[in-house]
Amino acid sequence: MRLPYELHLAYRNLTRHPGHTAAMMGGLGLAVLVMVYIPSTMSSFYDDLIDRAVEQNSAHVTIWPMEKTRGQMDNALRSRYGRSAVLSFTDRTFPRHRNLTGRQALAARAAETPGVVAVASFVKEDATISRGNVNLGTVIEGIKPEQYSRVVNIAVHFPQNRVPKLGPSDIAIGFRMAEKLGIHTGEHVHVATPKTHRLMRVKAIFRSGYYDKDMHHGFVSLRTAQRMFGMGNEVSALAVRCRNLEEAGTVSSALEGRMHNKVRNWMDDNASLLAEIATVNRVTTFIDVLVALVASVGMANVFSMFVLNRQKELAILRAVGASRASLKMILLIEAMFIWVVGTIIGCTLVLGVMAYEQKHPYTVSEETYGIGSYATHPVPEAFLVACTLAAVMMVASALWSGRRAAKLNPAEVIFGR
Amino acid sequence: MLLKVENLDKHFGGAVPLHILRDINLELAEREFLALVGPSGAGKTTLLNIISTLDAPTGGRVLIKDVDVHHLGQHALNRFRNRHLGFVFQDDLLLPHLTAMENVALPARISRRPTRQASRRAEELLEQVGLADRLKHRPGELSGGQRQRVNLARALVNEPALLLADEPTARLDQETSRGIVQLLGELNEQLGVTILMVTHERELTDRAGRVVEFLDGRIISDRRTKPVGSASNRKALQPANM
Ligand SMILES: Nc1ncnc2c1ncn2[C@@H]1O[C@H](COP(=O)(O)OP(=O)(O)OP(=O)(O)O)[C@@H](O)[C@H]1O
Ligand SMILES: [Mg+2]
Repeated sequence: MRLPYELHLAYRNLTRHPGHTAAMMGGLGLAVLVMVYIPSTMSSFYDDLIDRAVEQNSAHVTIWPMEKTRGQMDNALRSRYGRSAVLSFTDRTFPRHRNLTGRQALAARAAETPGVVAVASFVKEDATISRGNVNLGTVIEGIKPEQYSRVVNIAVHFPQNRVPKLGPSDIAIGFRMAEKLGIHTGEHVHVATPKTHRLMRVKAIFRSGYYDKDMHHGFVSLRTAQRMFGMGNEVSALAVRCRNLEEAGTVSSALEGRMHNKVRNWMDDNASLLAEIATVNRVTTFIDVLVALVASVGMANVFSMFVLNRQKELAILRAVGASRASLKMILLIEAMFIWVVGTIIGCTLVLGVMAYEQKHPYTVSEETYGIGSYATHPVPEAFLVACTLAAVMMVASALWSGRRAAKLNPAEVIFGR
Repeated sequence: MLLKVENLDKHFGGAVPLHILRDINLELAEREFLALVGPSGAGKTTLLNIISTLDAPTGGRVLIKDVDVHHLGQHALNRFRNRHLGFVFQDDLLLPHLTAMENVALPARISRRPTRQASRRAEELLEQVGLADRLKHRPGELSGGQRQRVNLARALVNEPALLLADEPTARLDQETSRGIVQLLGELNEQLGVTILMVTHERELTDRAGRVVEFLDGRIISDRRTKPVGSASNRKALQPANM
């Protein structure tokens, strides 16, 4: 065997004071634990939020009719009297409905856009639901359950994770609305639109996790909705599912290029949530760096104590011919040893904590967040970052104290000057 | 000449500047055994530290094997010290967490000799100094005399051209110190190791072939008591009885 003596000495130094070494490894492990756990738990939470918001309650991308920015009258007046002479306003009482025309062709064009995996059409209009003397403003969404489920995973909100078949007079309502109306599956409600009024049977009660949706939302079949709102064969919009969330941006701009419609993606719809996530990411990064810094200072201290306590030995080594590089190497090997074991300890601990959370998830306010509970799941990037930071700080503190060790004058140390 | 000390001067700065070594000139041939004697504070250790390259002179130079050691670069100096010099100091400079054998093998391993070869050599040397049954003991588990012998074995592991010993018998009882000095004598006579030893105790200088007396940083006498390399029979050393 031709093991370098630096390795041998490093090993001996570490095993000399097992308690001391274990404490360093444990300390590093805890730092790794914190550095993995904080970003992981935050990103797990926000992943769940996004999952709830985007995957289960809205489409990645939606295609709407183009809104006229200004009325024709507006434009005519402007061209006649000049820009500054005309004050334009929107009359909110005036029905502004415009439906999506030529949806078959649009859907076909959307479907063949790269990155798109499913397209569904839907109607979304306002109505009133009443039972007895309770009236509730409601968004009525007309869908083809099969088709729509492929775009938005609403199935998970329904009993048995299945969206029921919706007949001509069937409606599915949220559980809060059902409670408010005091109604159960199979009973009837009145649904009034500006054009019609009908009695509908509650086919199913869903639970979306969103307060508003659970209180003010009803699903009916697409055809029924078209009749209720007198839309003929038109729909309100198309919902599009992309291969993955991240592609929504490129897909939506590709779609914009292909059609004269308004295209929105989930990032537009969840801008405030995304801004919040960005802030939280900044904070967790900051905490990570802070933990790494504090741990580095601690480690550097421990290492320099190490060096201080071993000054005489280091001087002896130098006296019998060890080079400065060898002294640094010994400290570096010790640091790497501590790093390997410490990160293994930290990662094992954090995986243990996560496994525990899977069994006992955190409960959070469902009304606020739309999710009732969440558990931290392992985020590979967090592990990578934490382990790298740990390595950097160990190497840094070893090199830092290594420099001090190398500066030792053997004679001064040995002869106690 | 193995060692040539030329016009060596050493000052120490500080509150009261001190002129410790004054124009020292000394030559040492191969296979010589020189004892440096003199009162406390004469500058013996200072001289030895400079020769062993652990300290730098203020003026003059030290040639070992015709190499001006104080003008070597950091790296070359480490190598030189490791390969050609062995030292035994009055404090035992052993690594407390290594066994006797590992301590002895250390300079050999620093010079990148294979582990097994280094260990075998260490074992042989420890046997020669009478510690065959203490190979796996740590310094804390050895007596002062035993530690000093481990130091000696370590000093010899790389077969140094020059062995420097600074009061190797200090703090030891007379019996033990005699044993150490006898061992040094045998090393010199039987293996032809060149030795430069500092000692306070005149009676221990009998073993040496040459005695240099030191006073106030100057050599005041230099006498040869035996011819160089008086014993040429290079038998294996018998372990000393200590
Ligand atoms: N680093 C230093 N700074 C200032 N003075 C020093 C230093 N090292 C040694 N001296 C002085 O140099 C003188 C000689 O010291 P040295 O250790 O060489 O003596 P010595 O002959 O070995 O004595 P001893 O027999 O007591 O060991 C002493 O007076 C000491 O005070
Ligand atoms: Mg001295």
